[in-house]
Amino acid sequence: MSLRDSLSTALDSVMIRFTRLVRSVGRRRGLDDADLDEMEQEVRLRLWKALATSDRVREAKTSYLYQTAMSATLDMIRRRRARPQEDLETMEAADSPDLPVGAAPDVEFEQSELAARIDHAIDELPEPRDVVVRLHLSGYHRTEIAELLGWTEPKVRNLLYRGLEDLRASLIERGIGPRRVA
Amino acid sequence: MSDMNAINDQTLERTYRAMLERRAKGQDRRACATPEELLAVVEGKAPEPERVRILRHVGSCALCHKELELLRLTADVVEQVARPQWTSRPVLAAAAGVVLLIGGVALWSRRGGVGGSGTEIERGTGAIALMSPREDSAVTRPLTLIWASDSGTPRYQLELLDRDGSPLYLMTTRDTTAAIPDSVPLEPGKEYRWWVRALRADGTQPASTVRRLRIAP
Repeated sequence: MSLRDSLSTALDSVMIRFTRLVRSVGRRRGLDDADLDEMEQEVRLRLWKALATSDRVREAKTSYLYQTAMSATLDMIRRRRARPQEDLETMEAADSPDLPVGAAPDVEFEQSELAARIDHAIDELPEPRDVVVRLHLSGYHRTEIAELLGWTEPKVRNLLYRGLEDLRASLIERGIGPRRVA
Repeated sequence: MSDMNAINDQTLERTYRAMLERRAKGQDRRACATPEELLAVVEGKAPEPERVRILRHVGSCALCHKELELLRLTADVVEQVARPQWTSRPVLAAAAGVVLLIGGVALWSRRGGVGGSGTEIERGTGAIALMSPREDSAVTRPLTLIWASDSGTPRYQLELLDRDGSPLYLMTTRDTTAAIPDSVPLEPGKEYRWWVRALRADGTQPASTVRRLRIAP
């Protein structure tokens, strides 16, 4: 086996495990296949460049692998930002969860109006309840919110409970009556 | 607007996420968190006021949300791939900070994985004591996992796995409890595994044993 083949095999072994985990965890976190594909390719390429031999792949330290992979993903994000149209197309291709394709203009307007009132009501929540509520509504579980904010889960649970109560009251004042928010 | 009066929790979440998606189209990103700021949040290096500011934006920007998730995913997965625990070579379990990525009989490269059919479970050092649920308990949702505190440990990493060793839920927390989100698919009657690793300030990462649980039918 040539040196190149040996390196390829070593990297493949790493990437098989990496890919398996990226797919299973990434999909659960709502990332689409295009994002995951690009991230995998970026990390693979970076590891290939950084670990020139199969021995280096085998003996790489966790911290080095971590830095290499994070740097690859960070560069991918920077590159995407330099091409904003790509994200625009991706977002347009995504299914709209509450508006059917070709929704009537009045329905779309009503949804936009409703969203604007919800957004405004959240803006008026006391800090830091607003942050916790926004993260919750954007799809994070409270354990993830606690991890991201560096707070305990009971603290986040309390802030979320109170924040959603405030939001309910505020929406009712605006003529929007949630039957149950959490 | 009759729909507004009928709004419930699910509609609220859908409406909010749809708003973020609409807002993302053609969004001017000059007001967004920088990639470096997102990384600082993922790595826990941003001071609290900064963290709150950045995450307030992430919660209202679908594009930054996606980028934060890509960074979180990379960090979580690399740690898993490089993890030295649960190998069949005792020397590896003791080799803190140094990993052997391939060549060994690592959990993730092995079909059947932890506790695969007829396979004895390979355990961690047991340095972190798991409290609840007990070994091989039948539990109900919502599921909360509890372990003993490890002095000097600022953070813990929890993993919940299926019978084949595939990760179902990964999280890092400062608590010694973890509420498993309802979105994690756990099927009644099936067996799952969980374990905890302490991320000590000195760089060592003692692990618990691997414990089994079943979801009550």
